Amino acid sequence: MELGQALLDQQVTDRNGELMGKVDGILVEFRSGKPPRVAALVIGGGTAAERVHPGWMRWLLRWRRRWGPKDDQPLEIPWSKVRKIGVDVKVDLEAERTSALAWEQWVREHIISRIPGA
Amino acid sequence: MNKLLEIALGLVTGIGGFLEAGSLATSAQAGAAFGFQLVWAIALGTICIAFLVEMAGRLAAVSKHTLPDAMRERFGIRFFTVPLVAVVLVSFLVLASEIGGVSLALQLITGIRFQWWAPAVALAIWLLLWAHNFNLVEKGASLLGLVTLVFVVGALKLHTPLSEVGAHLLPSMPQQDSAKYWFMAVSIIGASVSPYLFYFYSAGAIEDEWDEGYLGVNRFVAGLGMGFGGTVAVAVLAGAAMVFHSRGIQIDRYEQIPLLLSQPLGHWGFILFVASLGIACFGAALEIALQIAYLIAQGFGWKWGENIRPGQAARFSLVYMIAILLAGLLILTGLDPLKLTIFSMALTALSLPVTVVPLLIIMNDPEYLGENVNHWIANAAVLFISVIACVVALVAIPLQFLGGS
Amino acid sequence: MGYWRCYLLILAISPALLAGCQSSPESQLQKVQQELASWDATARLTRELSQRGALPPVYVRQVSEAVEQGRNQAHQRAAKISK
Repeated sequence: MELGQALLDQQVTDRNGELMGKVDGILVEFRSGKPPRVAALVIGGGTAAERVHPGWMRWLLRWRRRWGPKDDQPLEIPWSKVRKIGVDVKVDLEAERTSALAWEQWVREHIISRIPGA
Repeated sequence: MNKLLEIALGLVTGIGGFLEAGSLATSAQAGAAFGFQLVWAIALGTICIAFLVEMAGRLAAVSKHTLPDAMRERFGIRFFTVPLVAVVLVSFLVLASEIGGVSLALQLITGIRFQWWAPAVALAIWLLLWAHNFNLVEKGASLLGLVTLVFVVGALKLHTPLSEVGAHLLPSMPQQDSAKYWFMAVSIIGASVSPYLFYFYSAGAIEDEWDEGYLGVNRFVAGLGMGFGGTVAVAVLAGAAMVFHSRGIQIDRYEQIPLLLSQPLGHWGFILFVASLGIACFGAALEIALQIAYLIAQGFGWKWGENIRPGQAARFSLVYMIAILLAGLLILTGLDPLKLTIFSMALTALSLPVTVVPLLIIMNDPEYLGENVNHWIANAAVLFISVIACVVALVAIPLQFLGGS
Repeated sequence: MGYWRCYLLILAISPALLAGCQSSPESQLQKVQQELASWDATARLTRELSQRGALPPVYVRQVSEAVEQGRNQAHQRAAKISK
């Protein structure tokens, strides 16, 4: 559990060293007779906003539903995929293939690439 | 050899990059209104920023975190939003002031009102960042920034009594106009201790992949670079003291300021003033726009970088685009750039504790700094200056606006 | 949420407190006089330097405009204080 707290808000990088986002939340698994443990890391989907203030999350989600990528669900990274924890949290995934970069890709397609020189 | 080059570059950037709209306007106003009395404010502000810049560099070199990254990690998203919002808002106003400064430089030589230059200036800033070769742009801007040394030449040509400057390195009480005096003092401190300087420095240190071997370089660059930079600000104040104070001229418009170089240096004085104003503000605008983008991108874990294609850091690029656009629009409205500049400097001073205290906490955390945590002197100096500046600003700002001035 | 009420209260009271710090009409008029003297001196310095050939005409025009605007604003303020 302490590990979980320490993990929150850390930078997450993928297997190629690309920046994926921050650990916006953690999913904890409660097991009977054993101490709870971190089941997954959560990135995106308004999770961070919820931690600031639940009202913010609702407002943010309403706004995000109007525009932005369709695949806007928070990304859950199972604990098994976490490779190394140090300056940042390295996970064994490819960022571009996950929904962590959904917004990055959306902004890239709809705004940035429309401008010459991008 | 490489480290020597880094030092040289860092020094050049420190000297050339220190002066911008804020320091220029506040130093000129202070020199005109109070002669040499407020030299101590520049000295105090310079000491504070030198410490802060060194800290930002040390944090990057030892912990490999940029400041916003470390701040979010250490404090969690909830508390992070407070400095995030404060710094973004204040930096935005300063960015607008810099665009105003460049626009004014263009107005001075062409006669066309500054607000009509704002779109072109904003476009130019954006284009240079979009070209994602910031290393080149930065080095160019730093070298060109050395033109601001003309203020030192001017001050010397005016036979500035160095004894006067020295005598006022220590704070003194005003004989009259207290509200104005303290307001100017905090504005000067706000101009010197701009958060964008140390946020930008921290990002640079990470991109240049500094490690613990660079701690000495870091200290040298921060101390000497900011020190020399502060000297340029003192030169502006001295010039204003020699040319304006004795004649009873107070600075209420940007258009008056070039006279402080025209007097000693004639024709060249005007040209070099315009060049200094334009180059210094333009360089600062580039950095502030990037810094706003860094703060948001690094705080949220997005991809960032000034030397990668915009397509590869889409959200980061979008942020600086929007910042520049909005700042340009603000100047286009014709808002008085001098008032905007002075106001944003005072606001910076007011927000200092919010910006600085999180950094201080991190700098004393062995988890990030190992054995390189802060010396108590650094903590004391920065904390003292920031808190005093904030408290004085809290009183001085409303007094300035309401107390019949 | 109780914090916000405290802040609002402080914000509401402060103008009253600060109004007490308002300077007298005499000192306000004195400030306006200083401003006018400043604009006069600016105009004089500009003339001096312009005669020396140190200033381009396009700039001299701008300073003259600024001086005029400054003077007008100062006169307006003086009129308001005298009322």
